[in-house]
Amino acid sequence: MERGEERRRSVSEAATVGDRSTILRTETLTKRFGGTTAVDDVSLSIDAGEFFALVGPSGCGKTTTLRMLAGLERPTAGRVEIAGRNVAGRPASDRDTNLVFQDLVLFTHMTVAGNVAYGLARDGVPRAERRSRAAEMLATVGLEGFGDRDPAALSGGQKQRVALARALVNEPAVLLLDEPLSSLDRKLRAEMRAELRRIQDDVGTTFLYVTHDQESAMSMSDRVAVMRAGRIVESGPPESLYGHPQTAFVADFLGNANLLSGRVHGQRAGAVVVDAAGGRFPAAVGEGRTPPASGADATVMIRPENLRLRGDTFAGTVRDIGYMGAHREYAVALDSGPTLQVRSGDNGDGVTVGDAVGLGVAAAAVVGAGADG
Amino acid sequence: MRGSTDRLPWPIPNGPDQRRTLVDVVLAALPTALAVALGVVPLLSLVVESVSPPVTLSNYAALSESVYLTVLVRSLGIGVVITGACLAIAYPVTYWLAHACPPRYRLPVLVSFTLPLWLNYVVLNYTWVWILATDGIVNTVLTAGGVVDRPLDLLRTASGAGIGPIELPGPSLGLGFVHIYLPYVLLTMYVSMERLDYRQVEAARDLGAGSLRVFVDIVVPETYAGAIAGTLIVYARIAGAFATPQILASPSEQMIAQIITTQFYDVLDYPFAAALSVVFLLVVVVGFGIGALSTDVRAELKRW
Repeated sequence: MERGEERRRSVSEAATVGDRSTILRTETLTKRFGGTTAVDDVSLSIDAGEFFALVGPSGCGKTTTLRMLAGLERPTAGRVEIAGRNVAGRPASDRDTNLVFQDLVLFTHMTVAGNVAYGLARDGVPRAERRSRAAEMLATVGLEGFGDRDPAALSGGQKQRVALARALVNEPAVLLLDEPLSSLDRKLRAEMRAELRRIQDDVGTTFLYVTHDQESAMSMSDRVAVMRAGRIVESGPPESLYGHPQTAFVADFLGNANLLSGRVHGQRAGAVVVDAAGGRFPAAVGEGRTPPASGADATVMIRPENLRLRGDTFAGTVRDIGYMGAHREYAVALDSGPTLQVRSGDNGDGVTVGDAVGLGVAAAAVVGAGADG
Repeated sequence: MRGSTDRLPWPIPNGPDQRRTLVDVVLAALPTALAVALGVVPLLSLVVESVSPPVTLSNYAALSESVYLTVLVRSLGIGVVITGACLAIAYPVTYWLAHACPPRYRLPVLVSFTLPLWLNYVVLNYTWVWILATDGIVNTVLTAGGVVDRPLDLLRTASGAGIGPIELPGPSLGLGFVHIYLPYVLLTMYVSMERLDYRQVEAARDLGAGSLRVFVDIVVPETYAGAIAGTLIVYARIAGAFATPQILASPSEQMIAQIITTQFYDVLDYPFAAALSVVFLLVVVVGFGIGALSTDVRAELKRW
């Protein structure tokens, strides 16, 4: 009951305060375990209805961050604001967030419906309403009529849906997801990603999704924050992070990247011309960022899919060809030294290992000066 | 003698030879023979004794005397109360140990649970005489501190309280029993508690459950098999205890084992003592059988 009331109260309060768009905010959130700092000064701001992904390699502190938001871990320092109220000192049972656990953790001694209705029961929802809302939520996640089943008898994908329904049914302000798809095989994972998006559109709840899988993060999210060693390195829409990363770490983490050191030759609109690895080519500068001055050192990123096996920007020799089904991946050793990865959908091109090829650059981007990878 | 291999769907490559050899038969026969000789044969002779001389049920008929029934009911009731007390203590303690205690203290604490098992239980019982006697440590402290004027009657006094047919044991009997049998319940419960997935607790908390709800909704259903296994281990030993009531019970708290002993050693009525023993055994075995019907409990007991 208290939680239900609090939710209504907090929503109306947020509305009157005028800060209606921000549903979750952390300030200088920090967690230390003994001598090690797992989460270091994390400040996040997530809008209501957003699908936000927190992504990073394992051990970067993303799960600890999530657990602090859920109330399962007490922050060493910092604020956690949900709908405008600081909840940092409150226990998990008293927070308007629900967590979908990595291993789902369904209640094994309850039926599917019992699992889904559990949060409603704790909020003091009457039995009849509980039953109908649980059934409704099961239908939303595509498990209509599964209420009486034993969770242990469900498939992996069905368990995911039950865990999702259980966490969504009492309409939390923010749904926290801790890599719930990591145990699924590739195909099912892709299917569940689309499902998650659909369900989020359906219910309109804010999703905060934690994962080490950058593909999942980018394909589902409105915004992505990349974490490393307890800190947020960069955040923004997936396209801008992928296309114009500010750090070599993010460039490399979000996909394959050829990183080259070079020197700025001249300016263009929204881009600079760069000399790197023996070639001269234009490289875009991220929106709203100051282009480096001519003559300055710069790190440039070229995605493998933005290199062509035709052209005269670089000259090199094919060292290796990997057949990936939909495309081929070439390792091309440039005459100037570095080896570039090239991805080409062309069926073979008649290129074989040992051939001399010329490479063309379709798109390149200047990586921010804070290159640290 | 190839039956056992034929039952396998496929042969185990380089597996142990499934054929039984003479050595295997002897190895299996020795303990079996020992178990029969030491367990079943005395039990049979007890049953035979209880229907003699020569063949009569009069010994069982004599059991219906109210004094024996009272003692039997009291023994079973005290078993229930003490087992319940052990579980009530073991639940929070093992939960804390398995899920809240820093790992490096876990083993020392677990070992300390077993300390009472290292001493003879007669000695353990007498420590309570020393603690609770009129001039014992508790009364000495209480009178010296001015808390009470006269020493309290803590040793060998009946509580006089009860719930229906169940009598509550007096302070010395209760403490003595719990002291001796708690370690067994702690160890069985710990095994169950350790396998309780703590994330289930977190999931319930996350969905709004307070501590009491977590206990009722998650901890009990996930660990009840351990509680029942612990009960099966200690219950019969408490209800049928001899030394503890002999040393710590009030004269009005006689228990079944004391009556049986009196019949054997003082009255020398062996057939009647045997009949008492058989009835007690049957009551306990029926209770045990009901508990063991649950598959969860059977799985838990197999671990012990």
